[in-house]
Amino acid sequence: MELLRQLRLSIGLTLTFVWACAAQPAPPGEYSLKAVFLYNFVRFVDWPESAFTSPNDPFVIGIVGSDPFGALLYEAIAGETYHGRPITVVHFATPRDIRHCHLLFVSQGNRNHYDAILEQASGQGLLTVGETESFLDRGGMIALTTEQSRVHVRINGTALRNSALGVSSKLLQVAQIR
Amino acid sequence: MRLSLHNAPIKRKLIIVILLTTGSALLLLGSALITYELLTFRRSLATNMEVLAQVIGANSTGALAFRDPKSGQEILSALAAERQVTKAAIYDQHGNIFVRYPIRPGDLIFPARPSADGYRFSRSHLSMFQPIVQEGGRLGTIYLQADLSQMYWRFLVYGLLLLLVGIAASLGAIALTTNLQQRISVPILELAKVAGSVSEQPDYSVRAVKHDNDEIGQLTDAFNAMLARIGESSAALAASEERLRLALEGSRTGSWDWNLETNETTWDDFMYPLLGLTKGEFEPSFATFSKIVHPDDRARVADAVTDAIDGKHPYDCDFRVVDRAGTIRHMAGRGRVFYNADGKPVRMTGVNMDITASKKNEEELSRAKEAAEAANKAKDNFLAILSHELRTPLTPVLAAVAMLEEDETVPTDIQRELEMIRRNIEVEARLIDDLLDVTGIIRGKLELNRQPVDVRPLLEHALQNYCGPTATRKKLQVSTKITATETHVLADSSRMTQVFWNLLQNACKFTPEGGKIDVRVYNEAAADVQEKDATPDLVVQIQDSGIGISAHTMPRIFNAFEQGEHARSRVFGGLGLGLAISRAIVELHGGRIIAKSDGQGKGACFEIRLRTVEEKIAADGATNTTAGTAEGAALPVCLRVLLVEDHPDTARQLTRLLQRAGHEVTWAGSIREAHQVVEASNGGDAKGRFDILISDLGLPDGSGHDLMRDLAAHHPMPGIALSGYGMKDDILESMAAGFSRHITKPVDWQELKLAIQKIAAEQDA
Repeated sequence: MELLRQLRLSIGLTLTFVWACAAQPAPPGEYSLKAVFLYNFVRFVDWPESAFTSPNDPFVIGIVGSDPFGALLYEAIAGETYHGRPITVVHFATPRDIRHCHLLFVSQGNRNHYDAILEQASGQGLLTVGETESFLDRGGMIALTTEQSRVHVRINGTALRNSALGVSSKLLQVAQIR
Repeated sequence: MRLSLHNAPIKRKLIIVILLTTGSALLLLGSALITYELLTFRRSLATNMEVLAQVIGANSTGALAFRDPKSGQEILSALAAERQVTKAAIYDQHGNIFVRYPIRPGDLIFPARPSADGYRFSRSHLSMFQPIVQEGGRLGTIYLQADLSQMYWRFLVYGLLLLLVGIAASLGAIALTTNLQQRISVPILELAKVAGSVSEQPDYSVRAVKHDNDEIGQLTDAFNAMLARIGESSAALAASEERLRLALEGSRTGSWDWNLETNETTWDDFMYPLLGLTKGEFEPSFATFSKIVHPDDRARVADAVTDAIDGKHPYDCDFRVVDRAGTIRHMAGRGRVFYNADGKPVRMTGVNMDITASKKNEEELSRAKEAAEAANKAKDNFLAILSHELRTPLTPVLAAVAMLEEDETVPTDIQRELEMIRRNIEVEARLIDDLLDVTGIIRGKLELNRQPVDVRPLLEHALQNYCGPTATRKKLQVSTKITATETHVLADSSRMTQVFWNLLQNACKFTPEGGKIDVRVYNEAAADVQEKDATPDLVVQIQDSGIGISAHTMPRIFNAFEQGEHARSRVFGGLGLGLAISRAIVELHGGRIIAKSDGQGKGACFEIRLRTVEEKIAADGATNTTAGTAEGAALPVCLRVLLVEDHPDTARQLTRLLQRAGHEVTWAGSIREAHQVVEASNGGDAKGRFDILISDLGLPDGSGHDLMRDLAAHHPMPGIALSGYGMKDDILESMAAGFSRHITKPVDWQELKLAIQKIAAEQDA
């Protein structure tokens, strides 16, 4: 009996392995993951009502400078909402162009303009997400860093605490806070 | 089980009942509990798992959202606290396994992809898939698998618990039963023991002990009351049986009972010894009983039983039985047959009585009676023979005296002596005749030759001949008063004369000198006859003034050999037969004779009452008699007489008388001589033949009858038989032998003379 069970288990294991190798899709690219993470921040962070001008105001994701996502972000937010508000993506060419938005992604290409960008974005109910440690040093709130092809969430606790945003503890659990 | 429970003692029944009750209660309770537990456990397990999955799912959203397996792993490792959970996994949005628990699953297999949400039970596990949702969006799926062995373990514990409770309950039941047994079984067992002892040995004085006042206590009371009642009735029955036993034993009686349907026979203990049998060695039945009945009585007993069963009459049969030793006993069987409603005989019951003793007594009595009768008969015969032998010698004496009296040459003074001799011989002859009469009466051989006769001349003749001389001598005053007009009666005149003679002689004898005798004859209407034209009674009264009859003697006055007082017979002489003979004669005539007396010394009166007949009939009868006598007397005869007589004196006297009358007499002393004489005389002419035979019947070499018959064959002649016996049978026998007349000794010469004359006249005619 025991022998039979072991035999069955080993067969099962073999099959699973074979199936896993064949059916597992290719790991998503760095930005594909980051696009999903961006959207996930929408889920784990609460924005104050003051951040919205009207009940029908959409949730706006702003991308300043170059856009590394392309269509990936759109795929990630397709059909999703924030508490019933549609999610839209707005591109800002320069820090000066930054206007009203709720989440501002600052890609690595802006690494020399962090101060200007953060200055432009401060004081608003705005979650700032960058891609480097230095972004956090400059006062950015969250950074999606990539190490050994793994994306890590790093958080500037001081910056987040000073904002009007509510961050879910679950996010804090998985993030590296500094 | 059922059967064994039927016969099991109450203790076991109680145990079984209690065990069954507790067992089924426990079983029901256990099943209910387990079923409930099974249902609730599954649900609660599912609920628990659901909650757990939700908690884990909620906690793991962050890890899932931000692809942090390490954090996810930490969350899942918290499941270590929940032992039931054997496996857990989190799948991502795409259905790929994100993290697994335990971390090193070894050979555990996880579903490659999540199945539909919800839980399902397998035999040993609960599998559950739950969505992981964050802010309305599904992040992935959590998978949990719980082991059900705990549930089974729990059921095992329940089962063991039930078993323990069951064992405890059983022990409790046994303990309880022991206690119950004390209260139920013990009294019942005691009751049963008492009942058993009573049925083994019928001692009804024992009583069962009452323990409690419950149903068993009531049963005990009822049982004791029943015992008391049985004891009373048993004592009464025993007393009754004892009485019956004593009665049966005393009367040597046994009872039997026969079931006619089953042929089963029951005998009581007395039957066996009664029939000379031993109980146990003999199987009673009608067939075996029949075998011991005397062979000559078997058919009779069988018939009596059959008749009884057929209902003809009750069974009542005397029979004999023969026991093994061959002893014969007499039994009296009595019995009754009982019938059912349909009239079918079903039972016969009765008794046998040993009547051997009474039978013996009966036989002895019968023998004694026969002996007594034989003795009495011998006495009568002796008296008859004695009187005959006494009478016979008187005949020749009388004949001689008669001859001498007729002899004119005899001197007058001798004539007087001769008269005295004749009178005394006549008295003696009369006495002997009385004796003969009495023996005849006793033997029922007194014969009457009844003819219509006038009583008056008979009475007058008696007064004149028998009373006259004595009355004269004793100077008695005799008066006769005849007022009767009807004086004819149907009577034997000689016997009636004898009665008058007796009564008159008594009157003369017992009346002192100078006394008085009154004779009255009168008619009186017959008292006891209702006919209109009935003839009146004739009453003859002879009243004297003699010694009378005392009251205590009166009842015996007519008995033979009894004379008033014994002492008197010595004074007055006689045998005291007169009145006995008189009464017998009067009663044979259909009349009555009674005696009256006012007491001793006051005289006596004898009264004869006879039925009269009409004078005309009487007159006719009387004429014939006188005519015959007159005719016979007129004819003178001279005959050749053959006299056969063995008594020489009698023969000599008769020869002389016959010769005196002018007859020629030849005497023979025996039959042989007679034959010789006849043969001798036959040789000559007719003149020498005998004209008449006069023969005694009792001859030394035979009977006169034989002689008469022999002579009739070769030398016929008329004959006259002389005999001491004068009964009717004797006379008829003589007539049958051929004799013309039968004359009773002592021979009355006148009678003989007339008979010879009559025969001579018939011969001439």
